[in-house]
Amino acid sequence: MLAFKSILVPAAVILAGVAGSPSALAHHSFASFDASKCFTLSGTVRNFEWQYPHSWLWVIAPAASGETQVWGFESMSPAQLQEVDSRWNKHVISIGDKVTVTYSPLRDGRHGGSMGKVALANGWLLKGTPNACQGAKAVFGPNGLTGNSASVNLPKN
Amino acid sequence: MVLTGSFADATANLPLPTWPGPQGDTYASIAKLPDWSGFWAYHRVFVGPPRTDTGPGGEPMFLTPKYAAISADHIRRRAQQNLSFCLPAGVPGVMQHRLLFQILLTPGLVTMLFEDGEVRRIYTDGRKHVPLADQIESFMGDSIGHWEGGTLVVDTIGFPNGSVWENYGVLATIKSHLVERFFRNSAGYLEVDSVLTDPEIFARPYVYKRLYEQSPIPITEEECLAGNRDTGTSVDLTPPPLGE
Repeated sequence: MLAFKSILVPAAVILAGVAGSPSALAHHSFASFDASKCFTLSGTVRNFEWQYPHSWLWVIAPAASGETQVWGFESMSPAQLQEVDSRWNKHVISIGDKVTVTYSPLRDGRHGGSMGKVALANGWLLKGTPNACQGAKAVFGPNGLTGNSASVNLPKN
Repeated sequence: MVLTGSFADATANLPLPTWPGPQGDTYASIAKLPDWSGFWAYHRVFVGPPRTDTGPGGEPMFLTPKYAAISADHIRRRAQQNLSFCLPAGVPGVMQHRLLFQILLTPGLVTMLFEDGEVRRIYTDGRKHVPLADQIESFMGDSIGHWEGGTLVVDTIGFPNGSVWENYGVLATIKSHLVERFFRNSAGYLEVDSVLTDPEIFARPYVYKRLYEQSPIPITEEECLAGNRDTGTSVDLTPPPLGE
């Protein structure tokens, strides 16, 4: 069993290096999302589904009209999320938390997207689906909260 | 659907060779075979997005013109394959996901249990392949194996539902034939050297190797259907009840 110990550490390093690969996490379906677009949305966590095959983060955010809307953000399986960012677990996000999500939107325009990253109130910026927001710089919207969202500075890590 | 005809039937009446050394036909024999217990994880090598001339491990892949066109179209459309529809990946694709697996040895049988519930059964009791004409179409096919010292040699036919590689748009056919050699290499990895032949898909045999390492994280249940909101063609945006 000694041989295992010698390979475990370099394997983990290699995995971290490839986490952003578009084809690596093949289970994830991305056909419904537009990877050429990237938006951010700030709101309050309604539900966090830490589940297979994919985890979902549900966020309540005010619309431009002043009413609130529910947004659904798809991510990856618990194992895949822990692979791209070891800080992920079932309890890292709780109902009522304030979050800012970067996402590639659903192509059909509904209130949902593929979650690229999520910024937590504690300063953490958790990595999500590598395919999301590829090659696109995050812009604020489309919930019209330009003034509010612009005050949110995404942490570097 | 009953499968019909193939090269495999031509060898159906020939006796299988007798292999020297322990074959795992009894628990005493299994004790002389390598210890592959624990949880195995695919050792991923990033080679970039899918291509029609290179496999996902970076090795050359010679698709026939017909399948090169199928694959190119699939990649361009970002089309979905087995796993995205909560279907089994099947042979050989299941060997290349970050799906942890176990290898269990019981007399005359090697069983591979994958994280998403897929199961490969490799009969090492000396039986021959089920004739293709008598098989039921499947994802995992019919696998027979034998031990050559510390190497498990597995021969699989009859897996027309199996994906070759997810995201590449290539499914196996009834003519697909896979030979794999499982062994621990000098670096400590579980190595699987594979040759996949299919005159419909490949202009020449597709040769590749994959590495697996021990996972410090145990297998978890990864059931696909119950919580699946995204089939690749439709997304269910009904939020869960409040408070859950």
